[in-house]
Amino acid sequence: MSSRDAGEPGLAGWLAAWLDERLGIGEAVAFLRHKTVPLEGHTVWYYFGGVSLFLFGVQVATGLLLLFYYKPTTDNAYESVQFIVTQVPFGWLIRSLHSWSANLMVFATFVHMFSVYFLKAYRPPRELTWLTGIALLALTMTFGFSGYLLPWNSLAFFATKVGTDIAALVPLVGPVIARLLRGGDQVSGATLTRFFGFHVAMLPAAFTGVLVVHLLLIQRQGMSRAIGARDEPGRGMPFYPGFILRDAILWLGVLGLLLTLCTFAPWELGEKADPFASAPAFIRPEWYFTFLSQSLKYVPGKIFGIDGDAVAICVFMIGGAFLVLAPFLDRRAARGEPSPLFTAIGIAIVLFMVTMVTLAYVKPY
Amino acid sequence: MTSPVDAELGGTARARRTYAALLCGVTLLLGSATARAMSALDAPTAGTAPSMAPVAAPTAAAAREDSCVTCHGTLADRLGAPVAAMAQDVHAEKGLSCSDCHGGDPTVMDLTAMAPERGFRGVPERAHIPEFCGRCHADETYMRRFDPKLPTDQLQQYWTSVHGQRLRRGDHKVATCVSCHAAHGILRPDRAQSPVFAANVPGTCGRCHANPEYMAEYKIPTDQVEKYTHSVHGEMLLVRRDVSAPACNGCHGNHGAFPPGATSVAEVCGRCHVNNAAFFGKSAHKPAFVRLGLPECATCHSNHEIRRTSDEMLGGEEGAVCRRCHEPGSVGHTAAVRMRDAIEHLKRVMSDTETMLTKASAMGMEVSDEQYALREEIRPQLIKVRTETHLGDPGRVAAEVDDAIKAATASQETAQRTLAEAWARRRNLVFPIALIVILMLLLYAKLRQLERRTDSDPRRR
Repeated sequence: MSSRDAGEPGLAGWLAAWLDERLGIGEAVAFLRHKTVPLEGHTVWYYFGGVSLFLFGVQVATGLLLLFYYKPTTDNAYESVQFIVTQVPFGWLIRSLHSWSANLMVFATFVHMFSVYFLKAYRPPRELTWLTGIALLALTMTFGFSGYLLPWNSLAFFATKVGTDIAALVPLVGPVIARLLRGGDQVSGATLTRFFGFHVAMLPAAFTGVLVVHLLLIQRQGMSRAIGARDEPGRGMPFYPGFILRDAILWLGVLGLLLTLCTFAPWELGEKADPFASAPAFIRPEWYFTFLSQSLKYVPGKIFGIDGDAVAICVFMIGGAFLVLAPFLDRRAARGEPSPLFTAIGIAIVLFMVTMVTLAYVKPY
Repeated sequence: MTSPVDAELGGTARARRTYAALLCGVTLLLGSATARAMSALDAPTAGTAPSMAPVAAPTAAAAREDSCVTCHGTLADRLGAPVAAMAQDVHAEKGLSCSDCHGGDPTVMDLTAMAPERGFRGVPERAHIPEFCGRCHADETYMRRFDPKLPTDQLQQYWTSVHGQRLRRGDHKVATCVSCHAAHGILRPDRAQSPVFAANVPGTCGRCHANPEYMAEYKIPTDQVEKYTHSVHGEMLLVRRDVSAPACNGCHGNHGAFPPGATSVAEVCGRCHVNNAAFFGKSAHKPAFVRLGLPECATCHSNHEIRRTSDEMLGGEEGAVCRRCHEPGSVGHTAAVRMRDAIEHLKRVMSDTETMLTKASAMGMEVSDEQYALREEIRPQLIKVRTETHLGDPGRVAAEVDDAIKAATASQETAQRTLAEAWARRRNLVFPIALIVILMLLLYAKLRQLERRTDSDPRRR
């Protein structure tokens, strides 16, 4: 007869009881059991927030490991990454996991953001959740931009030149921003150390802070129900175990995908950056910035006598401001009514971004 | 007969002077000039034959009104053309004007400005053009003030050239200074529009040398430019616009243009192909070629139609240049075959290594160091070996090849290891993936169990 049958707690039970007494785990589990996730046709989209969170965790774990060997100077950055992928045991895997998970994280975050947008989950009282989410997307992209330069390879170097040149186009403050980013007039060793500082200290701190607020707001307000969904009491998936375990299964699937990508398509290192060399052909920023860089290629030099690129940047800034302010602009959604205009605008934005990203890879010139 | 080049520059000197005088007279009669007192003249008398005294200094004529420019600027065709051409002329850039070459007094606003008493030299006869230009260009003291680095031996060299020697013998068809540089509107040689800019030289020489009718009496080939155009040098210069590639003057000289003799071809080619010439000079071929009167490098590589070299030139097969002299079974033939075989062996090892590295790179493996070594260390060794074939020593070639093969083999072993690791990673992926799938299944089973237990499975509702 087992100890359990005999009513004795056993080691695991004793440990659970010990922790429960000190941390109140039972209360948390009870809370999660009562918390429900709306169960409707759109449930699948709710998982992308969790996937983004999981990938952020992968980023933190692999990033910390990379810090053991990475050296943020122009003389050593490339060589240290080369050392990581060729000499350090499983270094190739850690570096590839970091790079692939960064890209998948950006993708998952974009999907999460647009799913929230199309489900109008930003409507009151979730405006702050939306704003913190937009801030997390911006921080994720900034993570990507700053991390891209760190291996100090040729493509990253010139893509950062292009990226900071685009930043310089922002009216009035552009040149100051570009100089702040570069630490000078050109991309140089100062830029590398600066980006390293952003990437491993400032951005993680900011991201973690905003993420905590974002998650607390979600816990406080629960998950949004789609407009028009029937509000049936008792119909919903318990957050625990239903949603959390499904999330865990999905995270494991994403981990398997990551490992497969890292094995069959390890993130390549390229050639070391040479600031005095010509820019290599087909330079482009990371795919999630190509909607911006590709669009600028179609903009005429002058629009009504104003620099075309500056006008385009202003249009993008207005687009960004629209997304930020969507909860406050979409009054129909605030009243719980469908808002087809905002859906149409969202579809136009997605189509534009997908088209530009596709063109950047299919027809870059 | 006027050369094709000079035909573009104008007619006879006498016709020019007569025409200029008439038109200048008309211009002056219309009141455009003020007569100056003839008694003030102190300029030396000079004829059309140039005096060897250089001009004293860039005249201030350019700054003041210049009767040459004033009158000739109003004239059409040949007499006015020099004024327009001088706008971009290097001499004008340095402050020189018409009178600095042609003499006369540009301050005098009538026809007497061109009086012999005022030092007017006019347009030089063709035979006198070298001395005419050399008056300044052969004077170190004078030229130093414009460009201390500018050579002043052009005239001296010219008289040693075939052109100069024939001119002295009364052949007025040969090229003089103006044939290549033009008479007016002379540009610095580094200006892309200059007829003596590197990429324009073949065309400039070809205006005479590729003209069968013009060259008929000299009984020399006129296909040099055509051949050069298709040569490796021509491709580099004319297609790739690499001005370091030799044009005609690169081998023949420019002012002292002369066809290199059979025994000095290697010296000419060796100015650029230093190692090839050095190895050839130490080879058994050198004395043999001298004995046979063969034109060294040109014997195997041709002269104007020098094709891009290939390994097929070496060896005992049909088409190899060695076969032209060395019969199969001869010592030379055997040596050529050994050298070719050694090179082919090295190329195979390098090719295999490159294939493996490319495959490893395509599989995402980091092999840039090995690719660099292959490209920047081993390939130069192949080039070195190819150069050393000019020594004609199969033992030396084999030793060099062995060194290169050792380095290539080391890279190949690294490539093999890397490839093996890439395949191992793919094979071993099955373990974490299997573990993940098992965990997913276990979690799913647990989920079903918990949902059944709590009766919270939404599908039951």
